[in-house]
Amino acid sequence: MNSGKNKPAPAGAAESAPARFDVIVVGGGPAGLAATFTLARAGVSVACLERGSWSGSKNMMGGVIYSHPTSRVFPQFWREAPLERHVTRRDMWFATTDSAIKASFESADFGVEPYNSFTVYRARFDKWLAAQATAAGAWMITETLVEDLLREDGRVAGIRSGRPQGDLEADVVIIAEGVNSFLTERAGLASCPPQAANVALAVKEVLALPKEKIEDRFDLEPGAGAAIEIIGEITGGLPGTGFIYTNRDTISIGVGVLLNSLVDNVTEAYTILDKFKQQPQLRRLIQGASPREYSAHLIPEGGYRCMPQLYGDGVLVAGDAAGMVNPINSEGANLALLSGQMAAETVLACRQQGRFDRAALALYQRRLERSVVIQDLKKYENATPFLASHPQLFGLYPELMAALAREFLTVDNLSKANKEKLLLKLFRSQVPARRLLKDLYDAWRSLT
Amino acid sequence: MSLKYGDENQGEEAGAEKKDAPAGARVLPGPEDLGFPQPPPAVANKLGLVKFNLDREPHLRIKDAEVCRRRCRQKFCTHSCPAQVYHWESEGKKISVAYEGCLECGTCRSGGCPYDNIEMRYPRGGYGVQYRFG
Repeated sequence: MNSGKNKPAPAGAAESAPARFDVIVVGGGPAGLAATFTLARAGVSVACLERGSWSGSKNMMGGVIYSHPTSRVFPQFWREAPLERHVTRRDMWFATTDSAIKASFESADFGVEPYNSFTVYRARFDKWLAAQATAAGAWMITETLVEDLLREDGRVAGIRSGRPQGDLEADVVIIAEGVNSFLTERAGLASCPPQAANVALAVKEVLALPKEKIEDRFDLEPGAGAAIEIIGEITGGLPGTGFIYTNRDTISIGVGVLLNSLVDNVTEAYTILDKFKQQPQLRRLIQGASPREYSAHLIPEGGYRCMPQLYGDGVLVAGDAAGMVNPINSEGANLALLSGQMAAETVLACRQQGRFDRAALALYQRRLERSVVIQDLKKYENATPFLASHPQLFGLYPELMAALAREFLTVDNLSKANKEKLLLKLFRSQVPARRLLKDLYDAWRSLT
Repeated sequence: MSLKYGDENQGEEAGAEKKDAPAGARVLPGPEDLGFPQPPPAVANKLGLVKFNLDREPHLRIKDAEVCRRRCRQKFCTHSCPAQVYHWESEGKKISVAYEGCLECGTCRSGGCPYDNIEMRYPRGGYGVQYRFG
């Protein structure tokens, strides 16, 4: 396959490209490229428009992609794609400013083909996805910002780009523009306005560390990786999580916090990140590592209730633009890939009837509803409001767990019986039984 | 250049960051060059590691300076923006917009300004932030 590793897609492609395609895809991320690749491989004339200099140059995530959904679109991608490490260990930490309770799962299964997940850098991984689409016969038109949709008799008939003579026509436009859904809003498909209750702001730093040191510090086999999610006081008690992922010879460290809690508390995301990096158990892991890059991105966390209308006359919406993120399991890229593929399959089915109107494209919605994409989004439709209204999950509870653990493990003059009483008293003073029951009930109702 | 503006407790490391900045990373001009009064951006060191392809055309705009001046006490955008693009100029009584260092995340259009007083577009194709890792 054409890996095009250090060579951005030719910026001049647009000059020689035709002015009409069967399908135009807006955005060269996982959703857009899954759609583009699937269509090109089926022999459809398709162009993918990307505003960056190459696919991935504007993209950022914490860093894990899952093998199964990715290989449904790009079979055996792990043999060639630029991956960092296959993840063999998943940790969950409940951390306070000076202590941590760590839950860890490790499996040898995760270390052999087809693997479970990989850490990746999107600026490299998405570029590879784009190279696959190009090799399959798609047009990748980079450095091109789509500014508007073209309409004809009320249906979407193409796009207007920022280039001179930048109009391109198509039977169908697949919008995969990402979390800032300018076109989705303009097309009247959005159901929630962009607002702070529905997005999390993630900031991340890439830190360089020799790979032997990474493997030593994180207790990993050569080439294997760890993914650590952290909740607790380290997000300043705000609804959010911290993360640390190991890459080949770098570490990704960051925090994602609901934007409305940042705004309400007049707190900066990078201030939280800087404090996070000072937490003693974390600081040890990143000691001596030198910063390589800083990045920021929004995560759509409005969930099922905020999903836009996913189809219209001549138009489909996929990926982050469609709000396809599962905030509980931190999944987004896999839902994007699957939705892009299903958008493409819908277009292929509709081509047989030669119809691309709303009624025909509604097939996309039905396909999504039968898939994990909408089933998972529906399951967690109350997750974000639940997390936002229960900040104790991010402050009080981890703090209390650590206090109990500390007391339990501290050997002093107290008899064990008295220690037990003390622990119970400590717990009750912080969390009255009624409150605990209510929180458990809310969690059960919101997340199951 | 941004050394003297470094994190209070990370002065030395900040120096190392600069040295380690890979070739091609464009180091943003320091706050003085952008015409900022003190205090300087706390994220200057972080942004110094990011590559930008500078567009001369601003893609961010304050819709109504009066809203910043009269209604917004907290100057929310100066806190919510992860690239500290926005800075309150107490002398000129306005928000200055260092769009050059924008990471294009969309916070300012998604409630980062509770008054919805910031117009954000993307930079023109090929311009703006260019992640090497992402």
